[in-house]
Amino acid sequence: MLTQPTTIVRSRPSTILFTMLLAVLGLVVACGTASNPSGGPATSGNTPGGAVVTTTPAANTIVIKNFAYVPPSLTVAPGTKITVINEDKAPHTVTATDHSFDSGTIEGGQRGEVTAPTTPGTYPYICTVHPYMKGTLIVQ
Amino acid sequence: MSPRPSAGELLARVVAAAGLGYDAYAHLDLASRFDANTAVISQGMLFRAETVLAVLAALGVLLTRWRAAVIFALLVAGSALGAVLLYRYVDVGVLGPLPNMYEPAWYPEKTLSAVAEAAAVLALAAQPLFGSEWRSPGSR
Repeated sequence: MLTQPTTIVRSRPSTILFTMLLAVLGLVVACGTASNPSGGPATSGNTPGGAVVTTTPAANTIVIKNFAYVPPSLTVAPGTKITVINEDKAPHTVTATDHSFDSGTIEGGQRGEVTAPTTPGTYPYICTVHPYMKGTLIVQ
Repeated sequence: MSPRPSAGELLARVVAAAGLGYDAYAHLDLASRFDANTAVISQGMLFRAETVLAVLAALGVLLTRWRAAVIFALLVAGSALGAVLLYRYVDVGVLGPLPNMYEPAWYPEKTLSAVAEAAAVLALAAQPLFGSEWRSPGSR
């Protein structure tokens, strides 16, 4: 009886690595798409039931989460003490670009405080560790 | 070539792969937070690219005994370690298409990532000490 010749196909290591590269690329792209964008407010989300929940920071409070200030613009009275809550792992600051207030470095998971200027006006502020993080304090 | 790698060589390869693996995880975890820091390419995209390269490098040193895989992994881990140290201590500014990634701070995830990269570099640099002959990709 004649038997069919058996052909064993062996994948070359380079083929395996190339396939793995494609898999990793796909995974990273998928994770990048699904992750929370840094610029968006990090305090809203969906409950398992589908309802949208939005958490507003307490009055006179700036929350830092995912390298963004929430709210991005805060209005307070002159001289108000503002609590800064850093919910990131990385250190951040709340520093006025005109240096009228500065929280100093607030380590991850810690709280700090700034005092609003006594002169009404609009005060842009940044994080000196990550200068692309921007917020605005309006004193009126 | 040695028929089987020595225990020392195996241990070094596992250490290198683990270091590269944590490097990949940390960069992917942090990527979305750095999307806002951009020039031609964003820091977030660079972090995702590092993730892909680190995973590929880890697979290379685990699954093959190619010299090219060790050199590639050494370049990936070494460049990551060099970059994190450079941008921690030097305000490089925008460099061609690269954003200014100056971040004058250490925090646990970043520190651990740098330690993992350093461990990978040491483990990979030690590979020639094991005295085994290495394969080139074309050899059987």
